[in-house]
Amino acid sequence: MPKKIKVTLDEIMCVRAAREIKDGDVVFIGHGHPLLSGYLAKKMHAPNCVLVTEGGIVDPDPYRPLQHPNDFCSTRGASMCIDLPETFTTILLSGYIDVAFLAGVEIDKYGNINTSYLGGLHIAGSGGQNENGGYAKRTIISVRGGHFTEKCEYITTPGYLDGYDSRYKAGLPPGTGPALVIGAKGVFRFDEVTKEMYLESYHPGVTIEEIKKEIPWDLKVSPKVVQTPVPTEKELKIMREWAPTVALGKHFFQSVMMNYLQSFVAETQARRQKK
Amino acid sequence: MVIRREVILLVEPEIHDKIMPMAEAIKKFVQDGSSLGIASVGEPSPMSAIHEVVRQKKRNLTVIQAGSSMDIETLVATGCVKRFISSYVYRVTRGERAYDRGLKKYNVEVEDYTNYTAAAMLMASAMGLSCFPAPMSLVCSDIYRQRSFLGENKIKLIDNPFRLGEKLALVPAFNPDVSVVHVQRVDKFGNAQAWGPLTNMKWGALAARKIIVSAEELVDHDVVKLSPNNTIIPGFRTSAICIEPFGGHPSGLTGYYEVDFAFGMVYVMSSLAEETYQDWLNEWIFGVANRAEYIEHYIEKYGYNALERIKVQYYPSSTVKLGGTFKSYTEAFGITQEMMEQAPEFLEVEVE
Repeated sequence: MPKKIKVTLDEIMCVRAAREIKDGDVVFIGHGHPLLSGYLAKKMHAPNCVLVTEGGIVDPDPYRPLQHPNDFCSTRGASMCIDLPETFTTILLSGYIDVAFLAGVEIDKYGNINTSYLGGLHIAGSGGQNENGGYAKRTIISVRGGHFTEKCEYITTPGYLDGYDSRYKAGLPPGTGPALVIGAKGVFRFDEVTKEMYLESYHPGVTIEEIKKEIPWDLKVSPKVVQTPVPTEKELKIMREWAPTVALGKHFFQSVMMNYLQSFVAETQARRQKK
Repeated sequence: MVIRREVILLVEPEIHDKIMPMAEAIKKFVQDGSSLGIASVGEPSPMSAIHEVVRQKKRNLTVIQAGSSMDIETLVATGCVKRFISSYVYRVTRGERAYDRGLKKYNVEVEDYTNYTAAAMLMASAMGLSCFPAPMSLVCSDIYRQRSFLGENKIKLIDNPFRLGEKLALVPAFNPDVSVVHVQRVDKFGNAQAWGPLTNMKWGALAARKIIVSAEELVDHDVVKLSPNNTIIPGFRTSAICIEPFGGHPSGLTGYYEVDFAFGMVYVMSSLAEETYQDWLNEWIFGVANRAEYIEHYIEKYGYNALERIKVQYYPSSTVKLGGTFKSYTEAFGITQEMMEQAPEFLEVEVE
């Protein structure tokens, strides 16, 4: 009888991304999933990878997950503190970022991403994604809350543009581009020639048919398609100890925050009654 | 009051003229129709200055910021902003934010860039340049193709004069009338020191013609002189100095206080509906006169313990070695009075 373990989708996604990081890689992180993947890789198989934040913190050892990309808890243990333009120019645009993480609200079959407008509504914007998508050697795109589309309403961050070598003809450096897309149901890679996205693995409990239903184009499937690897106990332990609110999913995070807020409000009310 | 002020002016005009309450700084340097640079990316956000702009109901501002969150939301939602050079607006929830309602209600025009290129526009201005090169990833996106109020001046694509056959993208320098920044400490001359994730603070501040420095602490000039590497704005560029403890709250400040998550949650939840949002504004912005009252209200409402939760247990940064041999040339080279008198290049001139 195979042993059963409890695991969240967030953990499956974070571990899959972490395993894509090689020892020695220079990794551009934000907060949330990417941060946890970078942290996990550093604690597991890639102790010499160097994490870099947008605001200029190089090689941090934060005591808790960052709540936003420039959270100063990242200064703990850091080797260098510079600023945003310095980080983008001397590290990213000059070609020293090996892995960067992107998130897509909309993503098309060539890995182009929209995070700017949805139904005309200004949803967020590029942040640091556009340059990371353009200049990191390998980008890992998370579509945890987003969806796949035939054509993005707005291209915020270039992937492989129209496929084949269009990305490089448009002026982006060779040896860069999306490497991996991690969705809520499966993991995808890009064909070496056409640069079209194909299915590499399906998450536990999901069928290929279910994934195909969510993809508006005729999705190609790798002949070697497998199930997405399940996190090991050690990986789960590291993630849950350091970042329970990221690893255990959004609903867990919300309930923790609601409890915290309620105790905050209860204290306020108790104070008022005393008065 | 007037007499006292004149007396101070006679003593040290350039010094005491700069230290002023936030209300005075905003009144003096931010006018209706001004362009305003917010020199932060998320943290530490100059929230005290932002709240004062809202309190004084400034209108038709053009705002630039490389990466925004509740700072721009507060300005947009209260009708202060006409045009916004944006690169990212933090979205905590899928629901309709006060920012979304503000954009619609006040017909705010948005010009989209990226965190880096918005920073580069400010950096160009701070460096006295007319433009700054932009990465080609910008040209490969709809950020290049779709344009709002900056039109053809948003991004230009030229033939790279140094690399045959290559294109070069340029973004224009953006020179705001005034910028606001919140730092850890400042001296009475306006030398502003900051550390931690510096994000875009230095460039965002120096890009503007006038700089309002909001600081957690006023320190002796000697303190600044002991760590001059930490100064991001030289005193001669600072127009106003506002001493605002907890001036970044609810965002965090390295070495002082963490981001106030619980308070941020209260804010986000109130921002989801117009009525509750107005209540929040009335309580925390219009209901208080300044940042000191805001903090007093916070302590009164949530207790001092609530403030203690976010206070940082700091450790000192290791000291670096500054110094010298402290020998003058006279001492170092053994120059005597006699040697100087025999210097061969003296001229003899007549004096009256």
